[in-house]
Amino acid sequence: MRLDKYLPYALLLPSLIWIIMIIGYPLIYNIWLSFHKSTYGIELGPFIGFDNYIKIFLTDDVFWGDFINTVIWTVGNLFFQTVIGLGGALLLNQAIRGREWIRGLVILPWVIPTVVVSLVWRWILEPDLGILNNILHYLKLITQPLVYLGSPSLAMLSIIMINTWRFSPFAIVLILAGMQTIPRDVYESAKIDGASPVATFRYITFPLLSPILTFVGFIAFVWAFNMFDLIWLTTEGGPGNITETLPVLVFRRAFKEYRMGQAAAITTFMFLFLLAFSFLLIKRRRG
Amino acid sequence: MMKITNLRAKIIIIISLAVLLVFYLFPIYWIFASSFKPIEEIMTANPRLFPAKPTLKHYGDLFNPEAIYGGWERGGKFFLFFVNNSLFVSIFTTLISTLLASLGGYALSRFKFKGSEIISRSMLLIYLMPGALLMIPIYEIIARLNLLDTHVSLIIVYVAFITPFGIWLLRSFFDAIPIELEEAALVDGASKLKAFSNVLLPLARPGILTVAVYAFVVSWGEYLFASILIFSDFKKTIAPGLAMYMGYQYIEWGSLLAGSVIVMIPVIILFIPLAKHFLRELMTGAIKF
Repeated sequence: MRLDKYLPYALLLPSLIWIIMIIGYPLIYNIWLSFHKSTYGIELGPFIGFDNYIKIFLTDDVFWGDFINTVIWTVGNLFFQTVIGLGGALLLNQAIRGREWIRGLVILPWVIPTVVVSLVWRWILEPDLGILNNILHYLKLITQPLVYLGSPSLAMLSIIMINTWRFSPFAIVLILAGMQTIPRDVYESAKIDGASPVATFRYITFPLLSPILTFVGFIAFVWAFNMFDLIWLTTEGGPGNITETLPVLVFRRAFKEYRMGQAAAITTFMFLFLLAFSFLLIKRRRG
Repeated sequence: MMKITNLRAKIIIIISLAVLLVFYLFPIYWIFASSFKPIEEIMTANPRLFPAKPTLKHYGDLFNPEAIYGGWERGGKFFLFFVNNSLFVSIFTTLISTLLASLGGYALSRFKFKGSEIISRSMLLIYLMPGALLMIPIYEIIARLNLLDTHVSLIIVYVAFITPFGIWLLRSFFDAIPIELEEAALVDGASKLKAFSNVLLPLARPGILTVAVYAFVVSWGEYLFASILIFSDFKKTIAPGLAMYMGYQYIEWGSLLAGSVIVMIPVIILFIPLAKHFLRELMTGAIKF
């Protein structure tokens, strides 16, 4: 009996230690690091208080620009992913033959490794060899090949669309599952009352879906805000700084310019920003 | 679910569905098709939908030792190494995180103890924890442990990121299995752990498989940590390895396309049969959130 009391702790202990060492402790250590002078490697530089923060907030010439890029990138993703997610879910919720099959196929982009995703799209968007320009040219929509990832005007939109291609299936499936939890008789009584499809969506589907939409939006927000690999593998933050978001800046500062302290200050800022956002969201939902 | 009565509405829906499917699937088809094209059909401004003269040359190049060493100066071609390294890392990550998740999920499902609810919830939150926020301190910790440029470092990091989701998923899986079955075994004189391994684990096989596939898929394609913790070309895993072919001056499309297909295939084969379980679990989490 006494053994039973400790058994659950014993079973969880290895996982908890592992997680605390690799996720919990680094989270704190990162904050500690941000108060130290930048060094590369194992040695911690001298304690310098808020100097790293003052530097990034006041004198850094790219930080605020990258912050704005991050906002554009995140909002763009949030918008397209929820809109396409909702639209796709409405479509796949229809009584169509082969629906299960279609659902299984639509999820594919979501499981493909990021390197492959970025490659697929670099290949499609290639200005001279890519199929997209070829199709647009064939349809006589363009006369000159468009440059997507390499042009200041199209780069951000292009990577937002790539990321939407990748993550909207996830939104579709979650929203679809949410739709199926809505009881059927709600729709039937709406029909008896003579509600139009638009009104049904507006007053029944949408409000009942709002918890799941919030969840999907929250995940889309967190993942887009922190996205590094897809951006790095498609544009590396370029051309210029157009697509450089904060995670890309962190990577560059830490592993290309070896300014660890400053990079740690940026990640601490990002973490606090995310935390504040999550609290606001939870408060709004509870209140 | 809305019933479609109107023919016009039905046509609009079918066309929209077709557009949706093309949007999601054409890019995947396109990389498959292109990977079988000879180089003249790749390097053209007028690509054809199907390869006119399909070839396996690019696949052969990837695994051909001549091509591997001959390409050294262009960043090195070690595709076989990459696949090997990734297999090693993914298999160990999968084994360890599945084991840890089974034990943890069992503890949270079958015992009510102080902190069990909080631990359960934080597991889901840790799943959302972005790796990008932790790249610097994790790098420092791995450096201090003297594990930079080793595959063990990747296994350590991946297990930490995968296990929380696994625990949380298996907890709800175990919850759905009636406890009476184990109680019967206990009455027959089996120990708690024996009841766990002989009764519960076999019943939870789909759940455990889901966690294992999730672990494999995540560790197979991970890029960020694999690129900061490993420096030696021949130790690289498949994601940063493949990225090496994407130099800015000269992109070897043939090898890249074939390489992507090879990276993609195990993921598609493993994930599709389990997608249903996986998404259902995620869904329950979304409602509880």
